[in-house]
Amino acid sequence: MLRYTLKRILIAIPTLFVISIAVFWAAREIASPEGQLALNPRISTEDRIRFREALGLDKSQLEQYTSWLGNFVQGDLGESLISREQVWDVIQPALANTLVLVVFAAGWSLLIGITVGTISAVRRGTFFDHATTGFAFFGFSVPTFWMALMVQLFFGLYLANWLGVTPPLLPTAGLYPPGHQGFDVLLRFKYLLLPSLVLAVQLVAVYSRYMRASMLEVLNSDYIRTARSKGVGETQVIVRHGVRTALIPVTTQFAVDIGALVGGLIITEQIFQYPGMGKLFLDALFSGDYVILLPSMMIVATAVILANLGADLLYARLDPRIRYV
Amino acid sequence: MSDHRDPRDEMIGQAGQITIEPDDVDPALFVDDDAVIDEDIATEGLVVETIPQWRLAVRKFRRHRVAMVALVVLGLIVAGAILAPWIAPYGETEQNLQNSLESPNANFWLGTDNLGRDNFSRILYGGRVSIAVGVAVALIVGTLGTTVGVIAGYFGGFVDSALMRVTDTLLALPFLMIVIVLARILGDGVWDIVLVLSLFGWMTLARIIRGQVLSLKQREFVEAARALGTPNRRIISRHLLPNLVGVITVNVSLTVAVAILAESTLSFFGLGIDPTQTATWGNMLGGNEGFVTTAPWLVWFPGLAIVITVLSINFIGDGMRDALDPTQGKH
Amino acid sequence: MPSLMEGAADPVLSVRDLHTTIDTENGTIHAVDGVSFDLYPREVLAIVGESGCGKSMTALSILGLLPKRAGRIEGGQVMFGGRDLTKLPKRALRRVRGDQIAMIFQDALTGLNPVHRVGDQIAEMILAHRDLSKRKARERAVELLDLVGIPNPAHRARNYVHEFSGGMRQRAMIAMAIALEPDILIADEPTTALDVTVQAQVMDLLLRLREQLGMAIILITHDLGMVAGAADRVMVMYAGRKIEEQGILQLFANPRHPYTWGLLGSMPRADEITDRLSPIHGAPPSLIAPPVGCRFAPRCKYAQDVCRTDEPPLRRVGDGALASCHFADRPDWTPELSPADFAEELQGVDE
Repeated sequence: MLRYTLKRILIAIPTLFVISIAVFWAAREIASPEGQLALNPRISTEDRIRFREALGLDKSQLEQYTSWLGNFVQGDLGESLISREQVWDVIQPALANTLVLVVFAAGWSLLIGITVGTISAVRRGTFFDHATTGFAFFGFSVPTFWMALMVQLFFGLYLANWLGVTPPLLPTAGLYPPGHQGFDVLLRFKYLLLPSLVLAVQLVAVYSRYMRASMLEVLNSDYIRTARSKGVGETQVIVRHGVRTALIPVTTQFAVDIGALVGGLIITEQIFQYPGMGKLFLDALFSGDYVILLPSMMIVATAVILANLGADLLYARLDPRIRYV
Repeated sequence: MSDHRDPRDEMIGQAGQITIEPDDVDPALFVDDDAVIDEDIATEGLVVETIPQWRLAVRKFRRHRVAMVALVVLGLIVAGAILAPWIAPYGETEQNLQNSLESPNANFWLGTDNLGRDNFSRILYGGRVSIAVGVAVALIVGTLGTTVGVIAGYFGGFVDSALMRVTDTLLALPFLMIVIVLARILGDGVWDIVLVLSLFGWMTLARIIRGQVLSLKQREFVEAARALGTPNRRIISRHLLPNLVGVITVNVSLTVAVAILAESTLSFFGLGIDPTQTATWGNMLGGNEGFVTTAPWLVWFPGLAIVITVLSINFIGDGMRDALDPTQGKH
Repeated sequence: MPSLMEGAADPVLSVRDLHTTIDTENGTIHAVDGVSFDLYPREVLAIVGESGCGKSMTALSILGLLPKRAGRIEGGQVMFGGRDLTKLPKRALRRVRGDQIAMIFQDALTGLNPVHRVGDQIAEMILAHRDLSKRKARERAVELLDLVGIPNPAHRARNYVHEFSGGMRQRAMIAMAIALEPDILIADEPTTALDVTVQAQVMDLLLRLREQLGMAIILITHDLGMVAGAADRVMVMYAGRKIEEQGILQLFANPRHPYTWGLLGSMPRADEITDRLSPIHGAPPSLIAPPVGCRFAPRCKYAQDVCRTDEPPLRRVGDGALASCHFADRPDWTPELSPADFAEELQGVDE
């Protein structure tokens, strides 16, 4: 197990390395810093010189890369070209917001998905199965942005009108009402509801299918028949033998997907104007803010690699067969 | 990594299937009319390779009611898209400024946008591009994914490790982010988008195929063919590929759906196909986002077009998976 | 249905006219088509036949372990302990499984849960039927592993299935099955997946346990050689039916059904040197639409017109044998009889 872990970590490091190069190159392509400095009229001459220094734009690409990487690893992310804030001060709240959204939505989505999937598998062919299948298909056939728009329309306008309440019934944009200061759990919660609904629908759709497929495969196995032949109660057979084994690929896939969600909520965050990593990325992309773009992409990529690593370790923990691979 | 099949590939490959028939019946109980005895095997009847015949698959598909309905619906949509130049009442970019922002009426069946362009016609024309992009991406992904999957699965060892390392790395990257970045770099033409989506869509298929190849490899007929000295190329083409056709077909079809969704998402944000050149369902939605409350038909109908198309494809893919499932059993 | 051992002690299990079907895409398969037999205490009854003859399905039917959606028992009885198992409510049947009738399967690698420890799975069997503490159950599991000859049982109990060798896995499965000292152990191809030397060890173990625990064993196999060393009685199945039944020695000395001859003749034997094995040509008939007449007729070298029209009943033949063949009671009915001579004889009778 230890060897397995070390091996996985050892593989992750060069992967991160390769990705950092790719990210560096991509960021420069999209938002060339030289170009930004040249074009942006709002940067004063002193700042321009300062930035040239800080980013090392006089030096070769390779030197720029290594110095950036060195700084990044130590936590020094520099200053934004546009807003002059410390980059980390911009990224950190975005990261936190996305994580909150992901954890909030994904947590119960997984639980619901697993439960639905298990029941669907055990009661295959029944109305429940067909109904949940239909729902699931709908859930992953609808483009996220469209669902987000429809949700906004519905909860923001139609439902309110129908109920005779002044719209919006539920907040459809942002983190807090404009001008709000400080931390308010209830308000936060309200503003989280719609974006997490959109995310949850998709997660439940996908994970109920995964669990169903996994359960069906497991229920087919010989050891299920053996367990029954022992006179073990059916519920216990399904839960102890079926679910326990079927959960393995589902939960580890979930770990991978969580990692992907850190940078993957671009659409939802944009439409709901939710200030997370996805929106940060998109804004930086459109405004050409290289200094924010680069580290945010890198952080997202790192989150994904770390999540993958976590998933592999989780897998080994859950499935004794692969601990020595 | 050794010859390790990741059960997640199985799960992902199987998810979405409406019915999976359990393989818990002794296959020797059936007299399989469809069994094909491989001529390569000298000893008669020793090794039997079963390839599901098309007739059996088609028959099973026909019984899947939802898939049949979806097939009809999709057929109508595709027909509409292909015949757009002939059946669309107005041109794709034809503007009727005095009729701008009209809700659906007798002249303009699905309404008009702010430039007076007919929504219905644009949806037909947009469909051509959206669907064509979907199919193109799916075909490229199918070829690329199958190639990588077969090579990795069949040859194993270092080749497998290397290929899977690349696949997993690419798979790890957040899809949308990467695709947006690449689209930004490459451009907003139709083929640029096709390229971008293909480059990052083949990995899942590769993994699924690899898993299938690994399990096929363990079955006797591959070992037997190898023992007889059959060259690799022949083993792959005569033994592996025919047994993979089902999996490939199903997954390529589903990729069409994914690609349509991805293209529409990109275009929605203005990062996909250039709306001034060609309409796609996605960029129609993107351009009209502002009108969502004032002219909801501009948001409803392109969106519905996407949803219905993708839903149909998903149901059909599901029906196909059901039909091509080699295990037999009753619903 | 006549039984061989009438007058002996009462049978511990009595299967009467069992009909089991499986639904498939192509139709309904009559996997077990009217099978009856008795099992007596402490005896080893071997059920022999080729793949697809229904022997496994018979075993699964006894315990009600058929595939849930497609398989069902259409008729017949399985009498055990004065009750018909096929009619028992689920809860009662559950109590019989494992505790009174246990089963072991061919492949212990897939037959045992890969993510649970072996000891825990044995303990699970115990806990399903006895009110013991988990700790006691686990201790008992270790004792059982020791009983079946697994070295270092305490350590092994904490291992997973894939950490065991083939033979040890099977022993572990046996340990699990005998945990509650069942009256009957059904062994479905217990050694098919094992090496020859290990096969012998496992069979020895089963027989030793039979002595120690006094249980009856139903041994399902296609390997007549293994049967020779272990069984008391043999029942041959073909195409869903029982076609012969005899004591073990009698079966080898004087088999009555041409199919049995074929099985015996196709066995490789260490004491004979031949150039070729003689398999039985052809394949078993479809069980979706079974043929009229004797089911073996299409493959039988001796088949006559009557074989193709009338199904031979299972009847007593000679001394204590049961066979379903029209000609089984002929004095010259042995494997040495050539089909040509046989045909001539029949012609001679006609003339």
